[in-house]
Amino acid sequence: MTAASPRALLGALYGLVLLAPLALMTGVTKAGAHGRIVVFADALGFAALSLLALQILSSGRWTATTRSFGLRPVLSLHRQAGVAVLVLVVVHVVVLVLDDPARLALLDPAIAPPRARAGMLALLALAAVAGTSIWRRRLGLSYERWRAVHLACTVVALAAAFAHVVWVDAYTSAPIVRMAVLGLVLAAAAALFWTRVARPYATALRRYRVVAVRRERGDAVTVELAADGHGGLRFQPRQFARLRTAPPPTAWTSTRSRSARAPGGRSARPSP
Amino acid sequence: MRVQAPSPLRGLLAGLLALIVFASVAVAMAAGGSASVAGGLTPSLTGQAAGAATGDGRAGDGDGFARVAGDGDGHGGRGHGR
Repeated sequence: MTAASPRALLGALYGLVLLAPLALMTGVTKAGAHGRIVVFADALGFAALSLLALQILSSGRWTATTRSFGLRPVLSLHRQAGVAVLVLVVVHVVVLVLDDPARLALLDPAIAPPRARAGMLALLALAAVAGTSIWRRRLGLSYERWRAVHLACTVVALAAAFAHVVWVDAYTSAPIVRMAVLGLVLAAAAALFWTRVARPYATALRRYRVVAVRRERGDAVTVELAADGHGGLRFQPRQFARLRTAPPPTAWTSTRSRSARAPGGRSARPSP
Repeated sequence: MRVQAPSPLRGLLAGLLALIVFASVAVAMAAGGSASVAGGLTPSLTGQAAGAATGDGRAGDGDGFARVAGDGDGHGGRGHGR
């Protein structure tokens, strides 16, 4: 297999996941006769849901993606696709309201049915994800707090979007569409669990001891780490690991036994 | 006094529980399909349809009442299901 093959394969997989729900919904006749503009808006909604799931699936710093594309392009795709999700959802709502201004009432949570409330909740969560990402520094959010907000809002957006699609019960009345959407959402939830919970837990067990700390020129500091009870890690030139340290709680009287962990407060797992 | 750092195992278990709950709810919703939707929405839709019938105009959001409660408000017949 050539070097380009994994990239092509991953690209094709990304496109397949993005387009599969759209392709499936074209074969379903929605209850009630609708104009093309409504079907177009629905397609935008489905595309947004697929892209949201792909955002979760692709942002976990998987070895396959970062090795094939590099970390920066993956993160760049994550940022651009995130904006695309929000734009798709906003256009989805705007087109539906333009088609029938009476639908504006659905934006009022006091009288809107649950499916519309779920849709609005998803939109608000996505807006929060985008807003806190763009204006993180202006909002005074630390990286850790921003990350927590980012993940929480992503989970809310995914769950609310799924509830919206299921409760609307139009295209998902077809079992194949329902199962495709369910599979997509479950895959995203599993990926979220693996990358944000299970993997950090596994790496947290691989601790490192600080052997020496040397002050270098300028603001640089060299920290020597030794694997504590495991074989350490393999790395190559140009790889890096992020070392995150937190100030000790005030009740701590000694910090000698604190172990260094990286990146993201976990074990030293280099990002290719 | 030394303060213990939060146990990562707790986080793992909490995350696992959250995943199981999320997956169970999602599967139940998908498996329930129309039945669960009808069950969950009927009260509010009935209320709104009743409002339309008595002429207070509150039900005019055109979001698919026709499927459940008839087309008594002039918009419901479009059944957009939004």
